[in-house]
Amino acid sequence: MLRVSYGELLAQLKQSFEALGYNLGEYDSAATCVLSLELWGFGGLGLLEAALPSLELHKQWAPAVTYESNALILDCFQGSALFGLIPSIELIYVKARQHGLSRATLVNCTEPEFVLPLLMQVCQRGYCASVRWPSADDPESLRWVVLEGDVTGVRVDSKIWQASEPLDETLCIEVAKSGFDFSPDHSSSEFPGLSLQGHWGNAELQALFEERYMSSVTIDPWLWGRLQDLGRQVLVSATEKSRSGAGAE
Amino acid sequence: MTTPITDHDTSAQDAIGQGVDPTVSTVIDGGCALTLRPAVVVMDLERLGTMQPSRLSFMRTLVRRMVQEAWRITETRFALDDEGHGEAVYCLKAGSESYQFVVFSRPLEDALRNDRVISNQWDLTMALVRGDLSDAQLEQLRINVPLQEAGRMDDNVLVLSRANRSFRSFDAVVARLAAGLQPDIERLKVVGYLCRTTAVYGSGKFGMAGWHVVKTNCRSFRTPFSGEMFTCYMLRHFSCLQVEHLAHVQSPGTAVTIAPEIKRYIGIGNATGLGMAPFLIKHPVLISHWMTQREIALARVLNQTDCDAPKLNSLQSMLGQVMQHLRETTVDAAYQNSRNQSLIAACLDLVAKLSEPAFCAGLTGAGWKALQTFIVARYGRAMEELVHVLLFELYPHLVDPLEEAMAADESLDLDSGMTLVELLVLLETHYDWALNIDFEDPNHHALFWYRSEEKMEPRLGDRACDAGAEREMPMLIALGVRQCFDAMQQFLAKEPDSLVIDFLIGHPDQLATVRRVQTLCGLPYGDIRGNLSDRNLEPMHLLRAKLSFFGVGKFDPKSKLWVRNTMFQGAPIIEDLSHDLNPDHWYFPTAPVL
Repeated sequence: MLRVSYGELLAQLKQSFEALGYNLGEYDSAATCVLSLELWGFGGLGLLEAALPSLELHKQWAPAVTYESNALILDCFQGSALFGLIPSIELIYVKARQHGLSRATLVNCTEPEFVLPLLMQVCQRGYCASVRWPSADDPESLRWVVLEGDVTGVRVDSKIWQASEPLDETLCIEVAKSGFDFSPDHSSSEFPGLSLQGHWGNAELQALFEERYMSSVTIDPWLWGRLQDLGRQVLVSATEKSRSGAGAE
Repeated sequence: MTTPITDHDTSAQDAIGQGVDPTVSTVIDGGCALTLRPAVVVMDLERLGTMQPSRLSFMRTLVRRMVQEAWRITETRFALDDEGHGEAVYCLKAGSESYQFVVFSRPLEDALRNDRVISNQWDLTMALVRGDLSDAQLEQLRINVPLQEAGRMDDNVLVLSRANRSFRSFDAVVARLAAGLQPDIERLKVVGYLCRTTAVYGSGKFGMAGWHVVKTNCRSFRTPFSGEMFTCYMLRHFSCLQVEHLAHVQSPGTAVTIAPEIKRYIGIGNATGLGMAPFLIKHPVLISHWMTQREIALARVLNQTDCDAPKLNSLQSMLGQVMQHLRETTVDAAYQNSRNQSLIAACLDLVAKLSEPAFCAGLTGAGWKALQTFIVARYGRAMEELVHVLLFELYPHLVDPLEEAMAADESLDLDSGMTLVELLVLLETHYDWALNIDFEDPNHHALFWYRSEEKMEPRLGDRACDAGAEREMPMLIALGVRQCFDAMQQFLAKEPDSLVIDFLIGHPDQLATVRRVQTLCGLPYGDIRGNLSDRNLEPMHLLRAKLSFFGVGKFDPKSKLWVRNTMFQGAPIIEDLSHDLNPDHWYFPTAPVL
């Protein structure tokens, strides 16, 4: 495994995403999302590796947004949540600001975890969010993350629940003013037979974040090499004439 | 204590209303409102090209810290052969922290010695490492440091750099020392260094420790670029020892060491090209922070009314030193020579004015603001910026505390709930300079910035004839603002009551511009007010602005696109650090008189 600094990986990710055709706001944010998930222990680099083949084949577009029964529905058309979701997440935030609570579901979405860093940014404005989605590997396993924040930072609580039957393949988001209680009522009909399989509290996750933030990031050399290969696509071939554009004598 | 900068018009209502000057910024400083110069003045590209190093420059800050905290630097290894090749290690003890400066000297053919960042062989390569150094670590450094960008460091390494011997001075100084003579001062006036660095890397590149780690864990290097500056300072020290070593090898019976006065006058050369320019665009929050601290310093100083005889005499004396410094500055570029000569003439004139009792009496009554008004009317921007940094020297207690506020959280914030009309007003108010550029005129959209495959070096191309425009770097803030503004106007024509988020849902490509504009409306010194695609662009202005924050002198443009300069000339040498000396007596250094 290769160790790279946070800043070096961020710069490489930005350049690689730029090479994939994304513009400044998009590639900047996507790079931050990958790193943020990695630092918080949600496996950002693994998710990126899973998303890369599809991202290299075709550019990811923003999801289609519809509004039904007081909730937003965001259709990602089998695309990754890594790109195109910032305006949609901002829309959820604006609705929460207007109505106190807003709900949205993401459908046909791969790597849904990438919404978490976007929601962290929302929460730092004094909001909280609940995000739950079934595992891609195990549709009976439900990941449930609650975020709460303010300008000083964000607090993260992450649980994994086991259901007795496969869950609907959607990612559900709720955003509300800070202090809202998202505690699930597991006896309700919405989640029959859920049992808690794992719980990572805020203190544990903060410690992990701090530890990772202050040390190098470990990355598979193969993935690093692939990112570098991608990034090279933004470079322009050198000629004697181009050298004069740098001031060469 | 200074609170963040606020712009009078961050509220769109204020901007729409009458009687508010939208460009004036204020900060609350020690409980009082301090009015800073407007961004339209401070961030003008040509004015940025006249900036001078100051007390807040990173080299000055570093040297002050080294002296005040009594840093101790000792040589722990000096293994050079008769050609001066080998390695040396220096240990820095700064309070409870320790660091190692490691330098490798390798043979290099004269033909391979050049200033370009794309070179791949150098006389000297070096690294700054935190903590102690094991044999295994040193061996890793031996393998990787000489490779520079092609090597891989670990996260104990903070800075990586390289340098070449100066054709013009290195061998000549060795010969003089070997003959028992001190270096030729006249030659040192022309070339103020023995070695010249061509790149200094930090901030986590090539596996090194990231800036956030350095800022948090390395107290001695907690301010921006201080590790990089220290590396150059140590290179300066090593270069003197290396010539002394070679002189001794050549002629052990007659060789002398460099006199301390001359050693202080020896700096480190630096060659800088377009690589510095993207930093200024990519880090608007940090740049705003740097400029704000400088402007706060200026406002504090200009508010002083104690223009008494001692202070006016000090100013006169400093102007004399500046003139001497400029006379000793040799540059090839005619335009830079002309600028230096104009500055000398302005200094002469001001010195004469300061000898007039009536003029001084006027200042004594009215304060420094009156002097500033006089300078603006009589001399222009370059002299204005020069006098500002000289005034800083008169009030260290007002200026120096600001050095601790040079780091910044660089995030750009999005306010998606803002009405689109509000955002439009912000654009019209803060980015009028960008909206006034006619991008339909090909001359205003003539150049593009791109990264070369050669070490990702930034370069400038001409859209009319150069390849690579499709891979353009996102450097054109003004054009982005224009495109965003046009898209917003079209959107508002259909949806007059819309919010920013409504616009972004339909125009996600405008996200970066919206976020930048919303953030920088509260940080008015974040964006440089210039069109970086204009056919008549002078990139040198960008380089000069950033180099002034580093604190370089002897600005010597070699073309429109790259410049040689000198670092740490006149600064205290290592032997001085243990003495109780004033660490700030090296602005605009002049040749020693022996």
